[in-house]
Amino acid sequence: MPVLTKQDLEQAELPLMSDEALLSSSLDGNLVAFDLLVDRYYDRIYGYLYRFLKDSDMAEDLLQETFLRVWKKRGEFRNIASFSTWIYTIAGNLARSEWRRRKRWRMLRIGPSNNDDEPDYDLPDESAIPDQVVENRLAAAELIDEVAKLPERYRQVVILRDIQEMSYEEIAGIVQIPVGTVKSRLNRGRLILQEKLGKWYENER
Amino acid sequence: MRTRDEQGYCGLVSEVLSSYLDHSLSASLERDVATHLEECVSCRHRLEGISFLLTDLKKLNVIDAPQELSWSIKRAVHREARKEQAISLLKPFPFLASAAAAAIILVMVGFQGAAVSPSVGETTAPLETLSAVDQGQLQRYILPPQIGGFQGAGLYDDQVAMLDSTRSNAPIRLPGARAVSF
Repeated sequence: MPVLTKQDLEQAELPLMSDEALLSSSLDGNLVAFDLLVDRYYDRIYGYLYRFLKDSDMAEDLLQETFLRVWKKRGEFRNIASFSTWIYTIAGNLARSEWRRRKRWRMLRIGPSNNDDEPDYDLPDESAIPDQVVENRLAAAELIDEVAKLPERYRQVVILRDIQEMSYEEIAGIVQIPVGTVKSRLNRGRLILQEKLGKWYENER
Repeated sequence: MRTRDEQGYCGLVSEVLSSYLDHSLSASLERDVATHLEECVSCRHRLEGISFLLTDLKKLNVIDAPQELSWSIKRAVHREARKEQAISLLKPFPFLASAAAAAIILVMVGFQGAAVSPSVGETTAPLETLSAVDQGQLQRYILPPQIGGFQGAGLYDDQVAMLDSTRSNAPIRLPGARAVSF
């Protein structure tokens, strides 16, 4: 990828540039280019972190941390994967670390639970109201709860595939597992959700 | 009533239902599953359930992230960029970096010193809480200038004697005096 000069950048229409080109521009300290990347991704990454952690405050903190890491490590990005895969991997690693930290903390506080994969907190988060589009709010809340209760390995692929609508290949790149494993985890995660919410879906038939 | 073989096949089909919905099965396997679904009500119900589930999950994609979030991220990144710039400017002059670090340490030590150094008229602890009997050996009292004290210094012997003579369990009340702990 050619290195862009300042003159090039002045002429280029930054909003039309690819993510990777914007990141490349930011290597020279072009903050406008990096700001555009923030604009493109902050919503999606926030959604991913929020669905994973079910905690809007923590999602906000980790979102900021994600972009700071991207900025600091922007020189290490190689065009082997897409920028999208890269940033999701960083966010996912942060979210998983946070999840495990909380789990350890909870185990220290009240002793081990019967199910290690159960979320260690389940407080209703009233500060974020992201689901107006789902008509039945109670049902949406139930669905969100069940997604959050999925074991970590299933939750991540369900969020990336069924909520963020990514391809198997993208997910494999982000989670760093083979495509076949993505499919099997996804299948298992969906079946768990379907079993948990089965009664609710019975009414829709 | 389904036979054991049918139940076993249902189990196998349920393992691939999700991929069937995503159209990511091989053509022959997809045909087999489709044939089974035509015959098996139970698997068809399961498929419908997953299908409803996927529709609802997609609706969760819409999240209104707080608008100010993008601004706070940009501010944080810009701060980081300025820090990087400052460090890169100092890099060619390592002695300047050391000098800057030393200056920062000196300034911080200076502030800390100022924070703990005594000055007349300040009260670091409520005088009412002091008892001369209990704390006489551990504390000295610096008197304000109007009653013969010296700024930043301990007491003369006669002043100590005066205080000793007033020792009682009642707290000492000297307006403007301050306590220094050692």
